[in-house]
Amino acid sequence: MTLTVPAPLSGLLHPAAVEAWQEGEPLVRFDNVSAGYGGKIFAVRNLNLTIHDGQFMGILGPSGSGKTTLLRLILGIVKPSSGSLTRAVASASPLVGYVPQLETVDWNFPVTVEEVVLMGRWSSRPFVPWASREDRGEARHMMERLGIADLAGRHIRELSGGQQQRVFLARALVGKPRLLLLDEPTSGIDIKTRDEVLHLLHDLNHEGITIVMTTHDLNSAAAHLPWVVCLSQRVIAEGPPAEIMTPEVLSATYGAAMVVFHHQGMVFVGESPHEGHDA
Amino acid sequence: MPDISFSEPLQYEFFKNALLAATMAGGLCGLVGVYVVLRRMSYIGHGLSHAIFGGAVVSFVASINFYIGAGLWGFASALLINLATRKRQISADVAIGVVTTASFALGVAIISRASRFSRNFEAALFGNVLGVTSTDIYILIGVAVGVALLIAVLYKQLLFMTFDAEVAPAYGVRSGWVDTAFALILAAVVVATMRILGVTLIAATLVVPPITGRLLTNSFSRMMVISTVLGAVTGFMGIYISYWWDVASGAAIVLLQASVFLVVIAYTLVRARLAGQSSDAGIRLGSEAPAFD
Repeated sequence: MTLTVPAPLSGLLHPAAVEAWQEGEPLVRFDNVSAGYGGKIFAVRNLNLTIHDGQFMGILGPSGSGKTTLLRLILGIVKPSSGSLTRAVASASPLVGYVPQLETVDWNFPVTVEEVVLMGRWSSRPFVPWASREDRGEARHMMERLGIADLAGRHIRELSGGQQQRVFLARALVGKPRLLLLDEPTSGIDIKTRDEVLHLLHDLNHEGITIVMTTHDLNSAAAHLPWVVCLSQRVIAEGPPAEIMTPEVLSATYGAAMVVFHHQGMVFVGESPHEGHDA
Repeated sequence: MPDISFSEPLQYEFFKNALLAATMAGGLCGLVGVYVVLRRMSYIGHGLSHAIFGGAVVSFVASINFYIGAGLWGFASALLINLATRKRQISADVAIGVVTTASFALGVAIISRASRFSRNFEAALFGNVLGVTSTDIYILIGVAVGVALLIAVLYKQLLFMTFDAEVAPAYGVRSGWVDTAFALILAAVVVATMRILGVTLIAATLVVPPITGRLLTNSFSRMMVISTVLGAVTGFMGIYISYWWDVASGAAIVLLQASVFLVVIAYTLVRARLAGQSSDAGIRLGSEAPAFD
């Protein structure tokens, strides 16, 4: 059974704004990139995608769709097995800052908030064991900016989810990157914290930092992100959520039927009430 | 009851050598062990020392200098172990088990063929203070200085790699080089301390002082200081205990470290209970330590 779905609303985002995204200098470009982890299994296959300077992009897709691999390709941790990947030449500041999934962090590790943030500055004086006054100043500035300065001496386990997220954001930002990559920054934190994190990312984007984040949270992506990419090993569709988050695109991405509602300019996605389906 | 005197044994040259060697060996293992524990590599310390035993026997048979033969063998084993941990087809602990035990078995096989020198290798297995020569001490000093310098120079990268091996390369840490350097450090430490601590006991000296330090602090740099000092002090005191009670030096050091660990555990548990958060100590132990709850 299918519900009638209104045609995708276009024009929610001004066309000029859309053009502006794409007019930015390309920071990263995937041309027919395939990559995997040994053997013949590919996490991404024939991927074509360009990330422009100034973009705020959400990567949507089910687990196994290649979201994390896409980030790792940009970071250079994973190499393409075919196709070409071009990154803008790094200028004085590093190209990329990376915020890992909170679940992958070893919270038992004996480090304080400040020690983690300072890791982001390690390359300023790579072979000196202690941080310079300038490094500490930059770290303090960034912690103040993110509202965690009073936690500098605390062990990372003693923080709330939102504070932990900010610590790793601070580590990524303290190196002044042009491009910020975040792996599932909204998973494992409550709604209020998620909103705070997304607003913070918006602010950073307005300051000129290009942002690419993965998420499996369709509704929050639809509500907060200006540009989404639906990924299922390759790019199924990309564009403003109101335009591309259609039942067709989403079912091609997730392999499960979805319904999409439009209400007062907002997009809502739900599972299709289909017998025997538990997407 | 033995005569417990600190000054009496100092009249012997061999005792002074042993004291110096054990203090340095303990401190060195405590320092390097911080990374071993935090990288969850304690089985590698165990495996590597066994692998190097094979190298020691082979270099003895082939009349190659112990430090050169065992050193190269150890470095090669450490690199092999590094490689094994990165490949995902075979689980790392199995690969390491095969490599290191085979190497150890080779050593045992050669010894059993020619029983004339088996006496010498009891020292390698269990540690022997009497065997410490001034050459051993010079080598130990050299290794200690070299390792301390290398750790200082690579401090930031090692910390980043230890905390977050996946992410560090994204921030420009040369993970391959850092891992190789650490393999070299670990191999050098095991080879240099083998005659004092013994193959079978090195693993403990690499693990017990760091985990004791971990219980006492949440800061990485403080954990390093505590672990190094604890390793050195227990090395120093262990030699006295070994002399007073006539027990093997490696065993004395390890037993002393284990006792300190137990005292600290008890202290942490009591402190946590008093603070009304009895689960805290259990959590902070991490995965390296046994569960006490």
